[in-house]
Amino acid sequence: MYTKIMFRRAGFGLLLLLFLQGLPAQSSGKFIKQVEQDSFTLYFALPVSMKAEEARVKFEPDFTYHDYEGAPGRDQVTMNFSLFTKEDPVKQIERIEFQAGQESFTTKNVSFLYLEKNGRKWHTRFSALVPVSAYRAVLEKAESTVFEIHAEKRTFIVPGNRKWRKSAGIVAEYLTNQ
Amino acid sequence: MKNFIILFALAGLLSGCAFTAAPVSGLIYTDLQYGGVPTSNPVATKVGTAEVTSILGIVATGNASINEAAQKANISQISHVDYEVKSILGIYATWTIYVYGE
Repeated sequence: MYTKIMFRRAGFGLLLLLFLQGLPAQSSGKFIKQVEQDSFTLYFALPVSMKAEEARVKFEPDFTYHDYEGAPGRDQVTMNFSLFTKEDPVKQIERIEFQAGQESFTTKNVSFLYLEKNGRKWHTRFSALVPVSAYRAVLEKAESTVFEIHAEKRTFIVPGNRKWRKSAGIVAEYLTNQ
Repeated sequence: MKNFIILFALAGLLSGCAFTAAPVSGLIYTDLQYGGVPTSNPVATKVGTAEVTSILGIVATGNASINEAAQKANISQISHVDYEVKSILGIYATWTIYVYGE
């Protein structure tokens, strides 16, 4: 009898916890930050963690965009991303291909930021410039987004996950108003 | 009603566990943002973020230093810093830093 009551209480607590966990999902702040500056707006799509098809590899990109007139990269989005690997660290990336439905885009402007060892994982940070048009196309076809990261002698295939699709839907709404 | 009292008591007990520093906090649920002191550099074209997490106050991991967040976005001049705190029943808590700059 006592065990039954305890189980019911635990179940109730768990339901409440699940409900509360779902609350921030309704807020766009979970996926994008918008900061007003003097003469432009800065958009920051928060990092989304995705698993590569290759075991033990994680890809975590974030995107920064600003409509700053006169800025050299105004028609480009900065994609900063982390690659977590358990085996050899990735130090150089030749290109990244974005598959979005039937379309695909390639960026070769990938620069190395830093490398660090976190416990047993290698964390390499890179930065790349992506044309705004390509980024928008990828967001609009988030259901079929696949990132292909071509590193030295290795290629990592990263399909967009549920969080990516959720994030893309909200970020696309912000950027299409531009 | 009895369940609520038990839940509140439990939340109160646990909220001291997965602790996060914030100007205000909710016993059951916290989800808030607040800002740090801005610098003399007003322009921000880059954003870097870093996060720490705590489970029951027993396990806490991560690096949410300004340096870590700035390094992630290659920021050399900081404009301002924002913080975000989330906590559920004191069981799971995250503290995130956003560094804006050039």
